[in-house]
Formats: sequence, structure tokens, C-alpha cells
Amino acid sequence: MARGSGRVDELERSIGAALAVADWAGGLRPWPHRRTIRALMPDTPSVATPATATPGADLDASLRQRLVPAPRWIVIVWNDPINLMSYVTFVFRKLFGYSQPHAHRLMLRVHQEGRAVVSGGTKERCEHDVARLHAHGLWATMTPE
Amino acid sequence: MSVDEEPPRRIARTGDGRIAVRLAPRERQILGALAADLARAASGDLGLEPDGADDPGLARLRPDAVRGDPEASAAFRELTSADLEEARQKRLATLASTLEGASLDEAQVGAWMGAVNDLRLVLGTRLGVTEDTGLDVPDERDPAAADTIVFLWLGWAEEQLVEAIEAGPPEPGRSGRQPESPWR
Repeated sequence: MARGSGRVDELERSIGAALAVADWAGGLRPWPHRRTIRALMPDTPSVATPATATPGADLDASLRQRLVPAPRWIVIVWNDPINLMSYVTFVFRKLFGYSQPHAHRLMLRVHQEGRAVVSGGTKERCEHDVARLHAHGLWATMTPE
Repeated sequence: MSVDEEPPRRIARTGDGRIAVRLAPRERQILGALAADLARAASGDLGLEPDGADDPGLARLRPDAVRGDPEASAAFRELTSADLEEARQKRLATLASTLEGASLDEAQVGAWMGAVNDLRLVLGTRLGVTEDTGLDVPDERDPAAADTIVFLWLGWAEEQLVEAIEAGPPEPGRSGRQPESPWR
């Protein structure tokens, strides 16, 4: 594949990530900004694109991508040998409002299976949850479902 | 100090809803020194990179957010680490300023719990602890024995802090709004 399309994707991805995180921090709303960036995109790749690239096809692909629903993301908490079981249960209850039995079950799943999905939703929502889990010292990651 | 002879509930709810802290002067001294060290290390004041580039203990405080995507994780870290660090410093400062007190309020005990957990993460990661650490008494000839004992003591303190918070304030105040979070 032509490098040009790589540049578009790369730029879009990093800007998207920055905006998404900025959104939960109380600042920017992601979608209008993403649209603005998209609107500016058509001219960007052609400047740096080698002669073999086909920017038109890439833009069609990105347009299609934009029209399908955003993928659901999930938040995973990984087992670690340091955090206490009681503390992890407490954090699940406090952050997600889970009942004591549910939080306890989730904690046990992390402990016994090495990881558990603790929340899910939009990318922005998951970034918010991961940031809060990190603030509480839990080993959390997010991934598209 | 022996971790085997832990007296029960030295950190516990009292009738007025506060949390009594009955720690020996030596325990408070160690806790204060650790908190001061972490505050300096995490702010880059000890010559260590605050992002943990040369210290796995500090790196553990800021894990990757997106598994398998170092670029996205770096972007996430860049955008969240200032808030994360500010909250951490606040918790450590609260612990330091209430270190000598006989009791804590709800916000203060939350700050203690978070600060002690951060200390456990840093110390435990540096020591390379496993889930079996503490099942045996550390060998005194092990140069890490003292650190291991401190780590285990922090675990005991953390357990007591969590239990005290979980016990909740007495009577109706229970359903009321929680005080401002020490994390955000």
C-alpha cells in the first residue's frame, strides 16, 4: 500500500486520540473537530503522496469508515501481585457503582483468570474509565471490542 | 517490628465517624519518609525520570492505556499524566500534613489509602514481589529484607484503611454525598 495513505491514517489517529482524551478532560467535543479535520484532509495526502499512490481510493475507504458506527471499546483490568483484593473490590464499587457481590466477583475474575472486562462503551467513555483506574493504581487497558 | 504480631484494627472507625489512627512513632516516621521520597521521585526531584524510564517502580504508576499501541499509550499518558500527578502530590501532601494526628476525616483517610497504595506499587514493583511475598518471613541476610518488611507493613496498613473506609460513617450520613475525592 502506498505510504500516502499511511500518513493520512497516522495523522488522523493521533489527532483523534488527542481529541478523545481532551474531551473527557472537560474540553473539546470530538466529533465536530474530527469532521473539520476530515474536511481539510483531501488536500493533505496529495502533497506528500508518491506518484504510485491513489489518494482518491483511500479517501473513499475513510469515508466508508466514517459512516459505520464507532466501534465499541472495552476496559480490561489485569491481575497484578501488589494491589490488595479488598482494595480492588473497593475501587470497582467506588468508580462504577457496582454492588459488593458484583465487584467481588469481578475482582476474583481478575485474580483467577488474570484479567476481567470491567466496563465498556464509547472510546471516550473507556478513556475516562482507564484514567480513573490508573489514578487508583490499577493496571487497566482499553481495546476495541 | 514483626509483621506476624499485627495488633488488630489500629486504624478503625470511631463513634463520631472519624477514623482513629493508632500508629507507633516509628511507623509514622517511616510512612512520612516514604511519602516524602515518593513526592520527590514522582515530580522528578530525585534525578529519576518521572515517567519511569529508568525506574520500573515509577513506571508502574503510569501504565500503558492501550495494549499493543505504544503510540496511543504515549498520547494518553501525555494528556493525563499532569492531572494524575497533581492528584498524587495532593494525596501525599495530605498524608504528610496529617501524619501525626490521632484521627482522620473521610477525605483524609481516602488520601492515605491512595498514598499508601502508590507506595506499595512503587516499592513492590522495585522488589519484584509476587503473590506469595509475605507467606514466609523475609530472610534477614537478604539485603531487601528491610524493604520487604516495610512493603508488608504497608499492605497491613492499606488493608486497615480500606476496611475503615468500607465500614462507612455511622447512621444517616451514609447515603449523603461523599466528600471531594482525593483522586480528582
